[in-house]
Amino acid sequence: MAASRYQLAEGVTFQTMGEGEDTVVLALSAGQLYSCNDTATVLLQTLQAGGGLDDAVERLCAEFEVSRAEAEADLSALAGELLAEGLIVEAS
Amino acid sequence: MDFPLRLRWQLWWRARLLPVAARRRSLLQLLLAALPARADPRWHPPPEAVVGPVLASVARPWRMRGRRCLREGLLAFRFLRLAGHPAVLHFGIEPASLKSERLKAHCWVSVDGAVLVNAPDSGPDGRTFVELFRFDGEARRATGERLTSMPLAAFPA
Repeated sequence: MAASRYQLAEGVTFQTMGEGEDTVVLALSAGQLYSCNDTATVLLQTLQAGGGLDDAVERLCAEFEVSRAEAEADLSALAGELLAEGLIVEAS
Repeated sequence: MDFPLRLRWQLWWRARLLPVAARRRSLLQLLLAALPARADPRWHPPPEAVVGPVLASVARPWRMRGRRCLREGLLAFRFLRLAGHPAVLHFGIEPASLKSERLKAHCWVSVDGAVLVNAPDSGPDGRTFVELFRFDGEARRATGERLTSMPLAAFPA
């Protein structure tokens, strides 16, 4: 898995819409709204708390019935997508 | 006078230009444009004396009908701040709209914790909105933390 650490981009915030609901993400500079699922929510919450992809993998494996390999693959791919959208950046 | 003529004039043209600005500017630019540089030292009516005329100025919109709350919110925010009140503009999402094709957003205005314009639980069918972020001169998460480390005016938009 990529060794880079990530953090939320400036002007990005997210809010879970309730128990079992998806999460909405706002990118303020673009005025764009996104909705995302549990996996992305786990990643965003982990990054906001200062954690890395490994921490998100641990949490995903603990909270959902998913293998470590699958969690790593999913989170790496997701991180790539969030990077492309400008929602996360590589941590300085 | 609760709402002097010079400010009624400003309210009138701002209310009419806002639909044009909303088509051309980003949300961030609209927020920054709504924030007055300073309160008007000659004008400090109670909040309700500000909100009434503001809402009346856009009571029969034929533009921005689909974003009426944004127009009302931006105007109320600006004139409440001009009147020296610590207005906060809140933005939220209706959770049920996550299941539909389009997210439903809403904005409302509060002063000192009291919602004065477009309460988030006052929709005609009882809809409620979960706050996503707020603006009080700074863009903040619903928890109050700042969204950006740089001045908003310097933030790319």
